[in-house]
Amino acid sequence: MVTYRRGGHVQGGDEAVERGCDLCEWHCVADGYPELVSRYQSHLRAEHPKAWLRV
Amino acid sequence: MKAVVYQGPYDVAVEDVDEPEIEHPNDVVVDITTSCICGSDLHMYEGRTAAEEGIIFGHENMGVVSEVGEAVSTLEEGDRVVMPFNVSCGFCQNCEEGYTGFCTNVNPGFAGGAYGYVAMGPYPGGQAEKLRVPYADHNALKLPEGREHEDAFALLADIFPTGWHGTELANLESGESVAIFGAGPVGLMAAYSAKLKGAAEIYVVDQVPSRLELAEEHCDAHPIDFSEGDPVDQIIEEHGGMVDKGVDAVGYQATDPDDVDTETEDYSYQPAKENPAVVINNLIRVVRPTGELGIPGLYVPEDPGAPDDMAAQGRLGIDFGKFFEKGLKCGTGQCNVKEYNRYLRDMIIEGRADPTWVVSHRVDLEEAPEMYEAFDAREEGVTKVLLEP
Repeated sequence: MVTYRRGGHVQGGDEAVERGCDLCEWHCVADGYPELVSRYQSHLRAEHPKAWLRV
Repeated sequence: MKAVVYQGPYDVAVEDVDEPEIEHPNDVVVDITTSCICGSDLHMYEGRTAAEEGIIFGHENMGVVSEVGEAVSTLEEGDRVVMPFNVSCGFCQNCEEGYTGFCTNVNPGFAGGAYGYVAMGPYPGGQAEKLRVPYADHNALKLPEGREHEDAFALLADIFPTGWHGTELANLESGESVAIFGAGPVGLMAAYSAKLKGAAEIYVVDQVPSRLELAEEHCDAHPIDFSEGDPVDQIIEEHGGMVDKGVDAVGYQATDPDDVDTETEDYSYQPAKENPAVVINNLIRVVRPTGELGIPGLYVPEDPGAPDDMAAQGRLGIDFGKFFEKGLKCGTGQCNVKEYNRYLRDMIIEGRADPTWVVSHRVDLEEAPEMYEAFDAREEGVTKVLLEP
């Protein structure tokens, strides 16, 4: 199975996007980048607060 | 909500005003937990700017996000943040190059925006219960949750970065000597920054004993009381020559040492005793040939209360011939807070820096009028006032 947790090409804005966290096994599939960024921030805020300060 | 509102020269009042709202999807609204009174506020307070009645003061603000615009990506309700006093967009040429104090988008026709300050754009100040923050992903610096380091983080909005900026403008390096004129909050933070950077010798010039004591105690600085004699002569005698670098943390409302009344303890500024060029000229004298001057102290192109017609137009009698002869260099301008604030924040978190010794008062917002009066009078012991709504 192909995954894009470390950055893969996305064809269009409505394509699902997948990314992972550098610091743990967390990953996320979202309907677009705005949602992905928001969920990534939420993950960092909750699980890696020191890293969250710096992104 | 309650807010500190300018009523006219030497008069502010805590009034009920409309609460800020999200005006753009990039905005957040912050519930203020701490807002500081700044020396820059005094320029407006004293009627030395074109500030009109009704301005809500407060450009040194921190708090907790309470509302989030739809386009904000990195913040959510409950996040603790501190805002640079500069309001900036993050994508104009100046912002892209790091000069967020000179943003050309947030205040069209002018380079630079700020909260609660005359001519710096339509951004009400944060000496209030709430504050709207535009371009919030860019303008709010995240902080660890809770109440720890509240005083120290509040100083990240302006004076700690601005003091640091003074030493950066002068390109101060480890092992160098530096003369800092002014032991107000910014001067003290410049001296503290010089200490953190490993300056060999730090001279701080002022006339208020309690401020000089702070510089001596917390910055390992040599206190130079200009009411006791020419400060340049004092520094040269103590140092054994001219210093490497100099910082002007006074600005245009500089008191002329020749006019200080040593018989009284009245330290309040009086225009008749001002000489707006005196600090710059003293720096030109005291910094060694090829040295560098940093000038974060405020100078203005128009001064309605200036001591003479030239100064009223922002024109100063600077000894440029001596400046040229010595091959001096000079950096000026307000601080680009975002250039430093995250690094200074991390120094605070890790215990490498703690600037809270400069804070003299933390009081309820309702006490703002009395504290403005005391701060403006340079009352002994009133160095930095934090307001808590």
